[in-house]
Amino acid sequence: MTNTNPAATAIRTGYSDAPQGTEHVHILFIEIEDRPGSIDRLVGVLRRKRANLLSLSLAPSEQADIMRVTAQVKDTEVAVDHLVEQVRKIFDVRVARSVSTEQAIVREYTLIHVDAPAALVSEVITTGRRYGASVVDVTAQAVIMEAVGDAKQLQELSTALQSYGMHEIAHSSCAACSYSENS
Amino acid sequence: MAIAAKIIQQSGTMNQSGGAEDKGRELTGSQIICESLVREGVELLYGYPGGTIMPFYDALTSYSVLHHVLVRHEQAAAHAADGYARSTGKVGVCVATSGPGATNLVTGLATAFMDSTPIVAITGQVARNLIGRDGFQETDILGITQPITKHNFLVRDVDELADVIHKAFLVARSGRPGPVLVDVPKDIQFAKTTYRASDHITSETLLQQQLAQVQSISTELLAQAAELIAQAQRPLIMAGHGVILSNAYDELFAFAQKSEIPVITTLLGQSAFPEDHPLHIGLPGMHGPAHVNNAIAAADLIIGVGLRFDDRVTGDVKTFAANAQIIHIDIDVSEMNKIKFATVPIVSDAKVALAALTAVVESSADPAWLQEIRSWEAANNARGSQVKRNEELPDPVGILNAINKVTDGDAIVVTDVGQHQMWTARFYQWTRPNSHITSGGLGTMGFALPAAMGVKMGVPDAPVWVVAGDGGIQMNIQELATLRQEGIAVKVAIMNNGYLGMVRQWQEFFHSRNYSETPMSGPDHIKLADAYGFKGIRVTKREDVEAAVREAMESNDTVIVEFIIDSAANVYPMVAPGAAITTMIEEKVEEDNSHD
Repeated sequence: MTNTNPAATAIRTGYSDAPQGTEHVHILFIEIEDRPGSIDRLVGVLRRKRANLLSLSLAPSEQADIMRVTAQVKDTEVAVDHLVEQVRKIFDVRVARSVSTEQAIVREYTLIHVDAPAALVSEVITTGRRYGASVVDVTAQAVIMEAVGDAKQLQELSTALQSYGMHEIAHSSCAACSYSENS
Repeated sequence: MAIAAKIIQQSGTMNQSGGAEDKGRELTGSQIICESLVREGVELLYGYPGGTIMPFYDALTSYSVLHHVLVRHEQAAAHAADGYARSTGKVGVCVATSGPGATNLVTGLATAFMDSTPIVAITGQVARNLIGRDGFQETDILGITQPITKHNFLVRDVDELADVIHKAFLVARSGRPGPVLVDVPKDIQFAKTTYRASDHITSETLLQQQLAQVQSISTELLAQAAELIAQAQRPLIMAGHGVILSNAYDELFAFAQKSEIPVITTLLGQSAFPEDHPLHIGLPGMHGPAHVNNAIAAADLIIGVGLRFDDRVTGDVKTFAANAQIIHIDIDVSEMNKIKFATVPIVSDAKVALAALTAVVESSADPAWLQEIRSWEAANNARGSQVKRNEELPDPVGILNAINKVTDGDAIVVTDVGQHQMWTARFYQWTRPNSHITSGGLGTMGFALPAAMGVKMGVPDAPVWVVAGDGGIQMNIQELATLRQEGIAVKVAIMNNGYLGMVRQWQEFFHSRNYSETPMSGPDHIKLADAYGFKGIRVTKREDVEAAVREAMESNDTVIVEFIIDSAANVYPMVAPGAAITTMIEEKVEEDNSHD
């Protein structure tokens, strides 16, 4: 990810003595019981422990009454380990683990609305398709395309379409699967 | 219904009531709360009734084993439950109604959360159909208390109520203890269901199941720790609240004795180790004496037991114990490497870990190390220094010494927050295990009086002294009425300097003596005591201090003793916040006159 948020590299006073500048994007997988306030508490812990959150997604898991939360956090290994331990302390949390992005398959979804006069429509569509997007809707003034991919692919897509004048872009948080269960 | 009262066992097995148990009984939610509390061994609860908790209060009168103490403010209910929990090791219980009743608990819950004490708060909530619709006295107490409770529950159905109560107790007391809140909508308190005690597992049973799964400390880590201890030239033990929470006094004592390593006790670790023991060297950090902070700076090994390297202990983290390796023992894995990197992290109950360590260490201590620390101490006159500015007025340290002397070291001292708290921490000689109760993490003014109420009810045989300032005592002064109604006898020492003294001290040191909003007038404490039906004693002369303490102790009732102290008396030494703990502000004895 090309995250340039200054908070990602700021010195975080009072945390571990781990050398700074070793930030990395980690994916947290959390399974949490679906009770009133449980997600609230999870997000609260992420905030209070100053997680540098990049994305957060929430959906029912395959188990009844259990939600699966996937969060992307950019921080040092030590800070992320610490964060995971804090998350594990939440009573409703069943499972919490983190993996680096290399250890997981990560997919995001994007919808792009491009302002395109009729003369340019086919060019926009061709460009979009070259980057893996497909057409959702075409009107007289606009093309709406969608794409699934990793963050880098979607970034390339939106950069390529930028020159045509983007009207709106809607980007989902990620869904992820880790390669190994024992990380 | 003639249910109740006969079920008084804590063990989880109910008294048989003529074979009716198997079929269960039709009970209301309120009765189920009471039944569950009784099965948890609860005998005392502190609370205040109100709209949404009234069904519970209605059921309560049928359970004579549950003694309810009517406080005069819900904050005091939480502090009293906290004081009870700290002094007994049991779970304290407090009860409040929804809305303002629940929000008044917040400061008490935060206090318990910061100091890891086990309390369960039960709050009424508006009926389920009103939740989220801004009902009268509705507040989102789950949301409000989320960051300051170990866990909180909104009860969704009367059928889960009993299990939620037992789980609340389990969460409160297991691992690193903490406060848990259970929010019970009013309609659930009214709702009826079939209740069979045997269907619901108490926290005691759940805890035993949990403990059975706890892994023992790895022999590899123990060996590493033993190796570090054997190699250390200048080792120190730092004992924190975890030692008291795990009731590990004997284990700490045995470990220190065998290893002959000097012992530091943090603010909440005070009274975990006898202070008259030759190995005890004192309090670390912001108001620690120079020899303790210098010892930390010189140490090559810190064995931290049940402490979290709070910023009042470490000052500047980079320079704190910069030459030391650290063996960190804590039951909470998330404390490891949070502030200081632990060379050997041992995630364990303090009692278990200390016993295991004692078995593997040899005494390798070099007596020169302790002698060196003692020589720094002697150079600083670190113990028992008295305020020299004003020889007439009672001296804070003298007051503490008198309490210690008159009670023969048997008192439990409950402090509020401020200068008197630091004088007590610094100069009181603790010899009775767990005899120091204070709000350390949150620093809650107004804590002492209600907490002492819980302490005295938890440990009725001990003399209980409140030590407070004239500022903080006002913050929950209304609890004198509760003490009166319950006939609880605590002794209240008010150190009256006519200022918010600690803030005044900071203003003197760090804000150019701009005493902004710190001078304060108080009530006539003698008349105040009288109004609540207590004896009040005012002490204005140093030579009268001990006699006043003695007089207070001779009474079987609560007595308020007001000591007028020098308004400019400061707590020395002091480390500026965030500075290295070896950079201390010491008292300048020669220029101790005139100003302010």
